Amino acid sequence: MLAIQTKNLTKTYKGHGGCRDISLAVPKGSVFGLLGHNGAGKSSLVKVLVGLLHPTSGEATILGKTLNDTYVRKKVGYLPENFKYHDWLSGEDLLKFHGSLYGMSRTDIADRIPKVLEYVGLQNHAHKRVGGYSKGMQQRIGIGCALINNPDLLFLDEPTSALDPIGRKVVRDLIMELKGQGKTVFINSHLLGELETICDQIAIIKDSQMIYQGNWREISAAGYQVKVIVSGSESDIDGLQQEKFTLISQNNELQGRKELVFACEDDRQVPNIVKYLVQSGLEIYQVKPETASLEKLFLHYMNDGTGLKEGSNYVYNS
Amino acid sequence: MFTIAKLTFTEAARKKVFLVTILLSIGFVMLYGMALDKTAEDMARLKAMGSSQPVIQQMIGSQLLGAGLYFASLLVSLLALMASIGSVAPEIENGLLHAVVSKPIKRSSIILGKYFGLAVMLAVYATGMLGIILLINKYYYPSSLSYLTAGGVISGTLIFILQPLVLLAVAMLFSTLFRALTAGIIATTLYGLGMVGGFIEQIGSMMEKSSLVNIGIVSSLIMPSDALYRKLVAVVTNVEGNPLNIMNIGPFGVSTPPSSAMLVYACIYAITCLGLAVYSFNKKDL
Repeated sequence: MLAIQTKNLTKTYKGHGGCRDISLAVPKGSVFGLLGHNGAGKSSLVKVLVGLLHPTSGEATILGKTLNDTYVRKKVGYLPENFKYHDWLSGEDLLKFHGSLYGMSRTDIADRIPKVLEYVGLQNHAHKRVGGYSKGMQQRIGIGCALINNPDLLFLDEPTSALDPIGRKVVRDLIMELKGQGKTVFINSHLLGELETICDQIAIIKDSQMIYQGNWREISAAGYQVKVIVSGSESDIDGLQQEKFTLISQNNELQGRKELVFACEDDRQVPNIVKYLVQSGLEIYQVKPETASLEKLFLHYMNDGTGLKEGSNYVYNS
Repeated sequence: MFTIAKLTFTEAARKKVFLVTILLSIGFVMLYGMALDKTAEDMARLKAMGSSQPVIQQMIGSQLLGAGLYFASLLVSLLALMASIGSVAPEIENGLLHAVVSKPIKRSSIILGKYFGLAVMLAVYATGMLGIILLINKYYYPSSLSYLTAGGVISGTLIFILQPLVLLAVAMLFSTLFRALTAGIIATTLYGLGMVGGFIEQIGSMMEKSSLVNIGIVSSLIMPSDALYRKLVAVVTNVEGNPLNIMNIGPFGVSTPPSSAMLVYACIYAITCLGLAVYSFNKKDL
């Protein structure tokens, strides 16, 4: 089942900018990351999906309903990129207001508010005016507003942009908890390190067009590497047989040691590499398996004009 | 819609513009009351000296009533403009509406909710202002309101409320079309046009110059707020049944009262502006 599906979805502004021909499939229960440079069209796409922008062309469904179906939004939460709330209300009153907008009953809102405040770590600030909140707290109460209806699908547009490291952890843990509850979370963020820990599925938009979508961990795993620090004679190192394991690079380290980087299919080959190096007469000081980070993958896609198709073989070369 | 209306009402009532208007209104009522008190004192003194001049008394009373109603109308109108201009355009610009529009409510409910929230606030304020002006005049110059009936009070109140509601609808329309500053300038200019047109019509009527009257009528069609004010004065002073209606003529008075068709026109005008505001907001990319 798909939480979001778009087909050639396009939003342009007088023929310029925005996003073009976006065909996206976001599985239910996934944490989906949307990546792209500034002005790539990410926010345009999110705004179209939550009903702030009218699409120029194309189709889209949210939880199986078209975008014109206002009432499907009862199951959708949204944190805007430029979060701004009624600053004269208290945090609790703001949540009540947003609960009312979702059509929730007073009882449901009253039951839900303590849970939401706990989610976003604002239990002790419920009665303070939102205008008196720090920027990070305002962003967290914004996430609370998006969660008040216990949504099945949550859109977070730059959810941690104003948060300190503790706030980021709170949000990261929250997203993982939501994932555990089977919710779908769609995140638009520049913070690749954040996305790396919580997202499996990603899409990359470049110059208004989508250049990749899929499970980034699969392509990352395809670029699995092992970094080994060894010492030994030049002849022993030169004698390593390339046909057994692919030696990508070797660099000189301190104290006459060398850093060898091997490419391999997965971590099951690591013991064999170690055994082979020992048998070759080398002394091993460090073994460090590595996969390509999301940031490296992202930069690769952004620097490669064509990008890679889903499912194609990809070996990351550092 | 009710949720938006309730929040809009509460927010408007908390805003500084409302507080300032209330303080200005109190100041105005005090000054106005003092002016009526002083002139009434003079009239009483003349009466005690045996030189009572009922015609002059009637004229002064009518002009003071007109001045009071006019300034009250100005305050209510300015409050309507200031409150409505700030209700849509700035919230689009600062992103406050993003979290609201994405909720399972129709965009029309947002505009209508804001309209009715502000309308209730303006109606309460307008009723209070009109009530105070009439009570002060009834106390000091009962003759100026001697033809005012209970029905006249009710219809006068409704007309007085209709005036800010028309301006509210116009300002809200521009607030969905333009940025806050532009919308404010256009709406205030239109209000000024109606005001000046009203003066020109009064002068044309006194001079029996049809071209001036026609300019006033056209300006009333473009912005009927001033025509509503003239209708209010006509209803409160019962121009048609008052043999002393000549006393009402002046910048704040009315020589030829607008017809009831103008009330219907003003209602249609406000509904059309509100409908266009909803249409414009529905089509808007946020």
